[in-house]
Amino acid sequence: MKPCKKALALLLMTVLMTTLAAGCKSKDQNNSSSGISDNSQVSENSGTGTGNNDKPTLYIFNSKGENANEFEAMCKAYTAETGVPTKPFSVGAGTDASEPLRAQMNSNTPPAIFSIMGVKELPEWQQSGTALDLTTVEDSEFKSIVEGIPENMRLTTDGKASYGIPFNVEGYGYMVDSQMLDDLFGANSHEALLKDLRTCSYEDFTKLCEAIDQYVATPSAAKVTVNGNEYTFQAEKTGLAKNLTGVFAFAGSEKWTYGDHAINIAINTVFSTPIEAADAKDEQLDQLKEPFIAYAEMLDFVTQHVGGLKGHASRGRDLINASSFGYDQSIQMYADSNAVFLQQGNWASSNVGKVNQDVANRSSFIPLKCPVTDDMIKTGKTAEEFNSSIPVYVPNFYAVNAKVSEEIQQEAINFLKWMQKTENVNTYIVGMFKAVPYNASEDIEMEDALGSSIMSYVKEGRTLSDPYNGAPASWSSEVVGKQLMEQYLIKEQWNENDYSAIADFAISKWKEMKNAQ
Amino acid sequence: MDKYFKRWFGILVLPAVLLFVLVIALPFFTGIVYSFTSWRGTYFAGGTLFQSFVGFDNYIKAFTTGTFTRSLWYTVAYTVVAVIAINLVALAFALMLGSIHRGVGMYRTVFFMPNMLGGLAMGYVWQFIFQVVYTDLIFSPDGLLHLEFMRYMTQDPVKALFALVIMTTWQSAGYMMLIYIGGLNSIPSDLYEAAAIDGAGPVRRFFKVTLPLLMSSITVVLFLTLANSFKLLDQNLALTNGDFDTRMLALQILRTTRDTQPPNYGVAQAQAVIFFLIVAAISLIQVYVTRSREVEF
Amino acid sequence: MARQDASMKPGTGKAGQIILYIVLTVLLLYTLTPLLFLLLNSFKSQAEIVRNPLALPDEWTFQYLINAFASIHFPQAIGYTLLITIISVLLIVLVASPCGWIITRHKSGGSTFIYLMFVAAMLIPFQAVMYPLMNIMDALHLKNIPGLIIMYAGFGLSMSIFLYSGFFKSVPRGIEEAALIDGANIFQMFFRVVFPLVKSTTVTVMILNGMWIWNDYLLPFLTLGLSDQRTLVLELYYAKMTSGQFGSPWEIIFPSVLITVIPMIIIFLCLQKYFVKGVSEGAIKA
Repeated sequence: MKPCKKALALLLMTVLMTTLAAGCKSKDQNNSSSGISDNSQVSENSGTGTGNNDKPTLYIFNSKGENANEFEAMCKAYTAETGVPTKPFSVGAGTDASEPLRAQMNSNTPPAIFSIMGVKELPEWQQSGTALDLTTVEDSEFKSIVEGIPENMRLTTDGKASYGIPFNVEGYGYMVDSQMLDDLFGANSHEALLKDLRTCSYEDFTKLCEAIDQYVATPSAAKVTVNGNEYTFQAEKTGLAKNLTGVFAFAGSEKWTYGDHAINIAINTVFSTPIEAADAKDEQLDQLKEPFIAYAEMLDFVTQHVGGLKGHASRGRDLINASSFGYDQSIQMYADSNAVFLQQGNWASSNVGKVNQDVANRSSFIPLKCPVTDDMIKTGKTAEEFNSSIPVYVPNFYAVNAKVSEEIQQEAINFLKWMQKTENVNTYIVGMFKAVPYNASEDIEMEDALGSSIMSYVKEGRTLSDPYNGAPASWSSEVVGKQLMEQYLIKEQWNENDYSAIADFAISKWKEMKNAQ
Repeated sequence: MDKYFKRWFGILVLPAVLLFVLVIALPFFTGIVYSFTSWRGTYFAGGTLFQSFVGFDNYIKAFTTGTFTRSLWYTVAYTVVAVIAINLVALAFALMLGSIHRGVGMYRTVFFMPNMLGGLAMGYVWQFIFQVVYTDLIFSPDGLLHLEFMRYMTQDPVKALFALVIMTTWQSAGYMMLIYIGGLNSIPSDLYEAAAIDGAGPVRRFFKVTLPLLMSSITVVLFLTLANSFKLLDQNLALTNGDFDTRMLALQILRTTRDTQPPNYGVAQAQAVIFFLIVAAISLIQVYVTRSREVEF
Repeated sequence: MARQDASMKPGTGKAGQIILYIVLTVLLLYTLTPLLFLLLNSFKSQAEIVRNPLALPDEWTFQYLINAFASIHFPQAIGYTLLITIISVLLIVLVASPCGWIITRHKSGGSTFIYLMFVAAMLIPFQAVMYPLMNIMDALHLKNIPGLIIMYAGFGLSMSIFLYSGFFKSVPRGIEEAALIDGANIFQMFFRVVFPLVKSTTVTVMILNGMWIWNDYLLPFLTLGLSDQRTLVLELYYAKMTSGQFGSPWEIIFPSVLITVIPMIIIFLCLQKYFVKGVSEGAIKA
């Protein structure tokens, strides 16, 4: 026991010493490497809500946790420039953020600026009177910002009020590595092929995928036609193509990839904004039957051509195992060139980059291809437009807390105005957050390849929206996604009846949940 | 003496009662009040606390939406299996360690160790184990022993229940084992001698001497495992996250606020109150029943 | 541990012993598997973990452990965790032991009520009090480390009083009378005479509460989540959070968990004697 006691004493001493040393060190260098744990732009008495020069502290709730360090740097710069003390809180994205936000709202120091994740979260803050209607603000500069938000990006339920300034826009599609296309079809074929892939039909796309799948199994100099142009495979597998195990990298255990994002394409046929979807009539929901069948067909096709970590995968229980087909695994497979396509958004750029920065730099998006026809689409778009557009939407908005004092509200507005200044948008939103600004000008330079790919669709006006966000809470991923994962992704064979059952299930649940609210 | 204790009673009890009132009683009763309102987490729908009073609506909703009752039965099923498994394994560990001569300390240490590790972090480790080690290696068709039941355990409510039991047994059997070892050691050895003289074999000795005298340990272990099983959250969250109809009560309450928008904290709170009543009732009955069977010595 | 006469133990034939050892060793290895898995993956890159969670690391490098050490701010985090755990546990012992003692010594309606109140509180799920509790703590400006300690003390009391009162029942009353005759006041009587008698329960109480507080996630997240003072478990959460919306940085998570577990294991190995004695004796008297 004796030597052990000594060891314990030693352990305690070491801990104590390192703690002390670390404490001293962080006081010395104030705010450098230790990242988000230093919010030192707030003076010692921050708890009381006043900062060093008697200006009230601006509490900001940022629900994009991965930006925590960069967001804080931006706040520091604002404090340095204006003297207004700021205190940012960053919390992980997604539903994890709502609990801490509510806790913050109930606290003595409620945030003056907070995030609202789209129309889905708006009712809560609208009902409680926390979200300030930004159109009522008497500040000409701010008014022009609010009025300048494109109509389809406004955070509103009635089209008149506007409750938030968009964080940024995000989009998703199939990521594809240009080098992979070159290795498959010969050097310098990627430019033409990417162009064709951006606009080709569902049929052309599936033929290409089948040909690739065939090629992965038995390489030969086969020919395939995309958009009328012929492409010939390399006779032997070269370069990245050697790593291929399938066509798609697929995250079967992540319900949101097919429950939210893929199905969103089909929902776009009837609803062109989340607000319209939130207002859905039963007749409109019935119109979704055919598009949902098309969606099921698309999902059926994708899940038959999935690459795995150790070879071609098929539908089955393995496909929904988080340890083999989780988000990280799908990113890994894509970045390691086990698959040609990965359905993800530009938010995954940093994840891909962590595995292989070259792949991230060479990647761009092509649209998700869905077998919809002109007569299924009620929004005036054509099937061709559908298959050449990608969903681009605002995931998150900055809202102003109507329950803090007028003075602080004004500070919040000043902060948002400052953030939207062109030079600050360029430095922080584009430069540091690596995000695509909602009001990006034509000449903006995006460093991030996937971000600039999104921009290119925005410039061409080839975008769809995010009406899935207007569906009843938890309908898309927790109900439909769950059903697909638990009942269908584990089934080897799907038939027409399954397509129809999936569509009926999705529609009836939507109706049921809409009425329950 | 009694008077003396009476005089000091208030003073010695006061700090504990104060803490209790502040941290448990006050929030608990506030919570009960909230469970009768349309509370939304940061505000009361419809105006003030009184204006948002909805009577027993939240309680009715809890029972009619289905997810709550389903999670209740799932929790009950899990608890039954887990309590039996943990008790049997712990008792078996204790008996085995009581029968060997060397290395008791080492085995005891290792069996106890998992108990010190956090449920959430180890839950993710176990997820890998169930999804990779069990599925692809040990129980796969070309593994050590082909057992389809032990594969993909996180993808089916029944299998996942056993997966949870395997994990929680791993985590808490060592702790319960220590309680049983203490109990076994406190049994006077002359009782065994007397039983041996009477011609009782090992099995008979176990049922006639060991088990009755172990009743007080069994009460404690049952109480602890029952309460822990009913309140299980971390492991549930990490292993299946409630998918495949594996939501247990604690997770159900946590998730209720995500099921609708705006979040219905009133219903979540009503579920929590029902949850408490059930746990309290079961535990009190169980303590009462086992206590009455204990043998004093 | 009191050793019984070997002949009294059931099933102790030579063959029986061998079988027992085989069974126990298999169980031992099984118990260690998850820990081994954790250890193995603490030396691997993200890609290795994702592709081959079971394989040996390509090379044994401490790089990931060092990275994890830095990214969870280990020195500060363990400092806060230790501070919170130690003070909370001491507070629990200091408040629970006299309370548990006096309610077994003074029998009345009041004492029975208080006892039952604490037993019932053991059964309250945290979710039932979580939201109102946070509001109350906020109103009192206690959403900080002192507040966290108060909450731990409040939640830890029930089980501790339950354990103490169980043990005090078996302590004969005679000692207190003797102490009283010697002229000790109640605090001297308690801390000098009675308290030392329940050492094993105190150890149990400290271990049970200590382990729970060390590993707890929800309470620190709700109270300290947004401040700069973070416990080890909170740091783990933040490490995951800053790695992108959906991904999990396994190459940080696994070594971090290993690092957080090691102090616990060292403490346990050193104090094992007390752990074993405390848990087994403390529980048996309850």
